[in-house]
Formats: sequence, C-alpha cells, structure tokens
Amino acid sequence: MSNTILKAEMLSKTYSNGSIMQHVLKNLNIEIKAGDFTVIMGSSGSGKSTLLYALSGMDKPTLGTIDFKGEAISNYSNDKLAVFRRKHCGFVFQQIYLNDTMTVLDNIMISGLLVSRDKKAIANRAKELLQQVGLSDACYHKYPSQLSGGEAQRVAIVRALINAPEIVFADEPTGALNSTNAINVLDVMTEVNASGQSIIMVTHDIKTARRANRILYLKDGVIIDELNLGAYRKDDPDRHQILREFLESMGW
Amino acid sequence: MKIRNMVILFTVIMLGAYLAVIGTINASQINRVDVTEINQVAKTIEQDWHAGDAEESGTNGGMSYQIALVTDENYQALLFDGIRNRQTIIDLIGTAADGQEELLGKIIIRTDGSEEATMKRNLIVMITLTFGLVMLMVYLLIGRVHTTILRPFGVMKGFARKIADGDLEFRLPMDRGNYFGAFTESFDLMREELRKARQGEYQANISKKELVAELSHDIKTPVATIKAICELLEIKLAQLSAGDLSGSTATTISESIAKIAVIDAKADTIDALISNLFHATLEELEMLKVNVSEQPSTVIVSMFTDMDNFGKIHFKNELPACLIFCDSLRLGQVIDNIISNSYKYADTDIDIWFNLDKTDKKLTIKIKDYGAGVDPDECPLVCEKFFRGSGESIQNTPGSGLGLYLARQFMAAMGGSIRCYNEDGFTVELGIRVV
Repeated sequence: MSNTILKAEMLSKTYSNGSIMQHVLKNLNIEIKAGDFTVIMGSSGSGKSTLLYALSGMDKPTLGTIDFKGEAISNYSNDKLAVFRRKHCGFVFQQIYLNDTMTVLDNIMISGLLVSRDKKAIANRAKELLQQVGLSDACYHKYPSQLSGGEAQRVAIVRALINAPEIVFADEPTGALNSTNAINVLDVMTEVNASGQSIIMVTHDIKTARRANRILYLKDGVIIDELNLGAYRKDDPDRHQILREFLESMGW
Repeated sequence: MKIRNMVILFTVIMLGAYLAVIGTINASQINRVDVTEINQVAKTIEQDWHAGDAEESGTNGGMSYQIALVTDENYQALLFDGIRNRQTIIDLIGTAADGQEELLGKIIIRTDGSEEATMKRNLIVMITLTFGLVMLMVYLLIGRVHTTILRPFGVMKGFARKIADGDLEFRLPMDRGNYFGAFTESFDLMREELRKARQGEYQANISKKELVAELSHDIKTPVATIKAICELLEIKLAQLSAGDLSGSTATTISESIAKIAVIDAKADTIDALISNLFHATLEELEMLKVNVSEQPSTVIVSMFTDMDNFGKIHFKNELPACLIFCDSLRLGQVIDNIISNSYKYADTDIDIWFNLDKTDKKLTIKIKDYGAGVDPDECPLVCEKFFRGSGESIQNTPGSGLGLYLARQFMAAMGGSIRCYNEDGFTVELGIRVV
C-alpha cells in the first residue's frame, strides 16, 4: 500500500441547475499506484473528464475524499490546490494551450519558474526533455505556430513534465492529432511512464488505451469494470485482443 | 362513389340504352310491297319471257322471283308455298296463237318475311337488357344507400349502447366519405369528453385522499413538537415555582402551568383526531408515494438536528459523505417517527452511529436510546400497522400505531431496510442503499 499515490473514496460530483441535480460521478473509489499508466474510458457524458479534473485537483468534488500521498487534498483551499497542482501534477490537453507569443523554450520554462527560481537548471532540464521527446535544438526558439500538431503536443508534454510531477493527467492528448503524430506522442508518454511517472489519461481511442496497464470503464458516473493489462508486455498482441474483448463486453 | 355521381351515371346509361333501342327500331325496315315496282318488274319478266328467256328463277330490279308455270307439276305446291310465306304473286300473261291472252303461270316475287321475326327477336333482347340494367342499377343504389346511410346508423346504435354500458374506451370509427362524418365525429367527441370527465373525477378523488393522508401525517410532527415544548415548559415552570418566589409571581406561574396543561391536552385531542382521519384515508390508499432520487448523504444530518429540540441527540461518529438513494421528505419522516417515538416512550439520550459498507453498498444508521425498550414478545410486531405496545404507559400515550409501520413502508419503497431490536434500550437500524 505504500506505493499508493492517489486515492479517492466515495467521490461524487454533482452539478446543480436550480433544483435539478445532475450527479456526474457517483461514489467512486479509485486507487492509483506510483508508476501506473491508467486509462479512463467510457462513452460521452459518462463523467471521464469530470473524474480526471476531480482527481487532479482542478475541480473540487461535491462529496468524498481524495488523498495524495496520505494528504487529503479535497479539503485544500483553492490557493493551496493551485500550489499542489504546480508541484505534483502535469497536464496535457487535447487543445494544446501553448502561448503563441512565446517561444517553445519560454513556454516550457514559464511553468518551471512557477516552482523553482533556478533558471539555468530549468533551461537545462527543458532541453534535456525536448531531446528526449525527439525535438531538436532548432525548435527551441520557434513559436508554436511554426510547429506541427504533433510537435506542439510534444512541447506540451515537456511543459507538463518540467517540474517532474508525480502524476501526469492527460485529457485526450491525441484527440486532435493525425495517426503518425498520435503514435509519436504516445511513444513519448509510454517512455515517460517507463521512467516512473504515473499517468492518468482519458481517451476514446483503443490504440491509445492499449498503452495503459490499467483500464477503468466509466458509465453514468460509476466505474462498472476495470481491466488490468499489467501482466502483458507492451508489444504482446494479446494485449489488443483482450482490450477489445473487454471494451466489447462493456458495450463500447 | 357518391350517390349523386351514381344517379348521373345511371341516367346516362339509361339514355344510351333508350337511344340504342330507338335507333335499332328505326334502322330495321320491313320491305313493303311496292305495287308499281312489282308490276314493273313483272312486266320486265314478262317481256324477257317472251323474248325467249326461259329462266324460271332469278333477280330483276333488286327482287328475286320464281316463275311457276301452269304446266309445272308442282305449280299448286309452289303457289301455296308463296301464299303461306306472304309473297306477292302476279300472273304471267302470254299471248296465245289466237291473239288471246292466256295465263302462262305465276310470278312469285320472293319478298322476305323473316325481317319482321328478326326485329321481334331484337326487340325482346333489347327490352330484356334494359330491364336487367334497370334492376342492376336499383340494386346498386340500394346497396349504396345501405352502406353509406343505414350501416353507419347501425354502428352508431351499437356505439350508443356501449356508452350506456359505461365502456368509454370504445372508439367510434370514422369514415371521411361518410355522409354522417361530422355527426359521427361529434358523437365520438362526446365519448371522449365523457371519458376525460370521468378520469378527472377519479384522479381528483385519489389526489384528494392523498392530500388528506399526507397532510394529516405531516401535521402530526408539529403537533408532537408542540406537545414536547408544553412538557418542557411545565417542567421548567414547576422548577421555578419550587423556588422562593413572591406570592403574585407564584400565582402567575401556577396559572401558566394550568394553561400549558390545557394546551397539552388539546394537542392530544388534535393528535387523536388526525390519527382517525389518517386511518380512514390510509385504508383507501394503501400506500403513500415515495419518489426516490440520488441524494448526497449529508441531507441526513439536518434531519436529525431539526428534531433535536432537547439537545439529546448525539452523533457518535462522522457521517460518511456519499450518494444515497432516498426520498429526502420520506426519509425525514422516518427519522421523525423514530426520534419522536423515543421522546415519547424512552425520553433518554439518543446516540447515532453511521456505518458505510462499501462492498454491500449500504449506509447503516443506528439510532439507539437508553429507555426501557420494547417487550421482547412484541418486538417483531412493532412495524405492523396499528400495532401499539400493550404496556399501560404506552396505552396512555397518544399515538396511532402507524409511525413504524409507515417507516417500514417508506424504507422498503426506497430499497432500504429497517430493523428494530433491544440493546440497552430500543434500537433502530436503517439501511439505505448507496449509489
């Protein structure tokens, strides 16, 4: 149990509109271990993104508790949550959200400077990470508009990783990319995971889900089942088959 | 086809038939015996005869003829034949050797008598056809009248009988082409209105009863509170009067105590009356409505604190926050009933424990007092309708024996459970379904 990094108990999220209450998440219990690559799947409106935002502390749950390494972040104030997010979480979104008026390197460094003052160390780490995701020196001083979609998403991943977060939250990171770029981005994510970072990712895509070692299937705000792929090697063809069967049984 | 169109069609057919008959009659002529023509023909034949043309039969001037000579053996037979067939017979005169005219024979002009017979036959055929046609049209017309006028009337007769029998669900079929379409429609409208009226009446009746039942049950709670406060005031005032107070104050206090006793007694009366009212309607309704929805469990806390008029309710552990299936109004009533029972019969502290069973998806609320509890023999019966404990103090306390019965009904409707047992005092365990 010592390696449990994130734990949610009886997590519920309710949006109310006047007297109408919409329960998006209902009494969810989730435990994420360090180094897990967890994928959340489910049809549209099943609460995937809401769950991701609640777990990452971007949104407060209505009921229930979230523990990050034994600390109940669900009781944190908004300011405290913001600090927590900067330090411990990395975010990758479908819309890449790079600042168009800054260069690639500046985009990455601004995130790092929120946590640390050591500009030089951050710059070095940024360059190292960019190298790792396959972006050459030529990119450093480009602007986001000069990058391809896949490159931009890789920059966003580097930005997410700059503070060496324990968990990276990704909301359909490959949703807006073509298949080649998607594979590149997923390769990077898989490498990041292999180096010990936990990833929680929301996706619609079976090829993306195949990379995970744990798949949670959400339906109407409830985790109806989960699949553990940890026993299979990443390149094992059975992985895809088992995942497909699982999703079919869920009514994917 | 509309009757008007049928009449027009039939008139046209009849007119056509009439013209056809007249035409046929006019077209067929019987060959009249034209004497001059025949004489002329006879003369020609005579001349030809004298010229040496000895042919005994042939045609001349469009008429066929036969010559029967006196010398012929069958002269008489031919003659009689000719007479029988109404043929024209003319003498064939020749000049004898002595210059005298002599009868050589007879020319039989073969006028055709069969034309008359043909005409007669044609006439019969035509008249038969015409009459047949007229019959057919009459039948068609009658059939048409039957289907468009008489039968709808029959259907309407059956419909009226069904309505009289009270079957308001029976629809009157409507036909656009029907002469009585509008009439039929208003008939059906009448049925529809009647049905609506009756349904409305039924609904109104039900909701009236429901309202009475709900209201009477809801009124019981404030009445219980009034009673409790009365008792509290009585005790407090009694304590005051025991102290050293000046004469006038003591009198005021004792008067107040008497007044409060009256309020208490009247509250008892109201309680009894409401119970009676409630019995009557509950019997007819059998059940009160429960609307289950997903609610945050936090609503439960306020249900207890609202009832905590005496500061006797203590939460022994924290309520686990989760989503539960409940009707908060009904769950509130269940808790009201349990707490007010405890106030009435035990009047001790009430302790509350919550327990969330994640695997069974059940939230248990344990409500416990430290009173005398329930007679162990009667314990299984406490949730029965109109059941009240047999103890003297219980019988002296106003109540209807419905509180726990309703609590069980409500809990069952929410998919939960209720369990009552003795443990130090009386204990109730509510099981609520977790989403």
